[in-house]
Amino acid sequence: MKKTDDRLFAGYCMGNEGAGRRHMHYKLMVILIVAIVIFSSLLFFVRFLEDSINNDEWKGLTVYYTNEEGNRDYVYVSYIRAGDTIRIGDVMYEYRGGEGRDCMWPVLPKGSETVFHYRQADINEFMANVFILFPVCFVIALVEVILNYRSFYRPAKSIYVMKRLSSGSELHRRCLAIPLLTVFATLAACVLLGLLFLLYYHGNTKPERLPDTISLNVWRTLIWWR
Amino acid sequence: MVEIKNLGKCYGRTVKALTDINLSIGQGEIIGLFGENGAGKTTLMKCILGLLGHSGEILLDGEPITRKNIARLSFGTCEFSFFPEMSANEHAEFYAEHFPKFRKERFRGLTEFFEYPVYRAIKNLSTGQKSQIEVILALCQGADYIFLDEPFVGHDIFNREDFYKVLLGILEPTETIVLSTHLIEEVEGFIDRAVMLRKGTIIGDVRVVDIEESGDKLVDYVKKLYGYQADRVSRSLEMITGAKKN
Repeated sequence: MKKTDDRLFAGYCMGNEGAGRRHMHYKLMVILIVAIVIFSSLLFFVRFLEDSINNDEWKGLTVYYTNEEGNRDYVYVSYIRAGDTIRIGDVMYEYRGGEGRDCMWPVLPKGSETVFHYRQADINEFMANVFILFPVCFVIALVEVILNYRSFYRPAKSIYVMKRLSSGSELHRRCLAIPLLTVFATLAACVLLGLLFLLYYHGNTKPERLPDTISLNVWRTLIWWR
Repeated sequence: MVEIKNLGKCYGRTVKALTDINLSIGQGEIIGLFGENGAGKTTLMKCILGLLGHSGEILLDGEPITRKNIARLSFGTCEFSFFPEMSANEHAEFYAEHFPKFRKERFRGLTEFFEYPVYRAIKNLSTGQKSQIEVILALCQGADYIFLDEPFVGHDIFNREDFYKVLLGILEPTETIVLSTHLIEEVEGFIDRAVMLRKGTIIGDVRVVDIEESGDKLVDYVKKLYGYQADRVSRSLEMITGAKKN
């Protein structure tokens, strides 16, 4: 087991003297995964709880109106917030808030009817930045790769041995294995958490309040700002 | 045989480290590679071992040197190529795993002879001990051609003497040593051939026995070849002290 363990590591982690550093790498991996789980869960569930308390914040809107041909038509918006605009015919209307007749500006023509649908917030609102620690893990892994390759140049030039091995992959395996393992482990944690959050979102939202489609913007989970 | 044809090496666009080197290294030879600092000795060795890109051609028994036959060459360098965190024994395990012809008995014999601390991480040892393990590993790799670049850095005189004797005793007839050193007087007794480099070109390639037969010593031959002026220092001192008196 020790020999297999040693084979995954770069210069400064080789041999008995390097055993402590190997353990440190494994500990770092575990710490990163635990940090992602705790941080992501806190962020998601706190937002979800907060939204449950203020559960009339999110609304969808259907506006029924008579178009130019004299036919009854409608405009549907999945989510609408104060300041959002919708186009009805050739006119842009701005939603001011509330549900009275003057909730839109300019005021809707006579005969128009507004129907508000109380919704759960879009999943992306809960998931924004929940996995922001993953890019951090990625950067840590990248730094680790650089340090691993560097360890074969300093303090001694063991690269001269590595370049003379019949196996061309030995060097790269030692430099890339653990950082890649870190990236994949944290990625797997993010994917599992993401699935968990999606299931929780779906399971804890009343069917009538569910959005028409649930589509997750993955980039927004990693880094997002308003 | 290692054949080097029209070997050239440039660092950047302007620094020509090696120019048009043509050299053959036969099996079983002990070759001393001499030259002033910056002559290109280390560069030549690194080019042969594939550690540096170069122009020209280097062949090992008619074949280019690739990962398939690179194990037939070994390298011990004053820059140190060991793994600092590993002990000598751990190095032996690593070498045995990656170099199928690693000589375990020779390794055990040499480390016992030099009373080498085989269980301590090499980073914790002295410069001389680091240099020793560098040479021991190069000798035990199981290579046919052993390149040693200034291997005696940090060795005391007694250690060096012992080393020369041990080297001559353990080498097999098919093993070739290419040894770069400034200690010409110490090695002339056991090398077969001397190759002299100057500013990246070979200026001399002689058999030691031929020099001895002519009644000369290798160190004097090398001095003549490099145009060494023995009175250069005394002339300079005269100028300096003469200027002071004036």
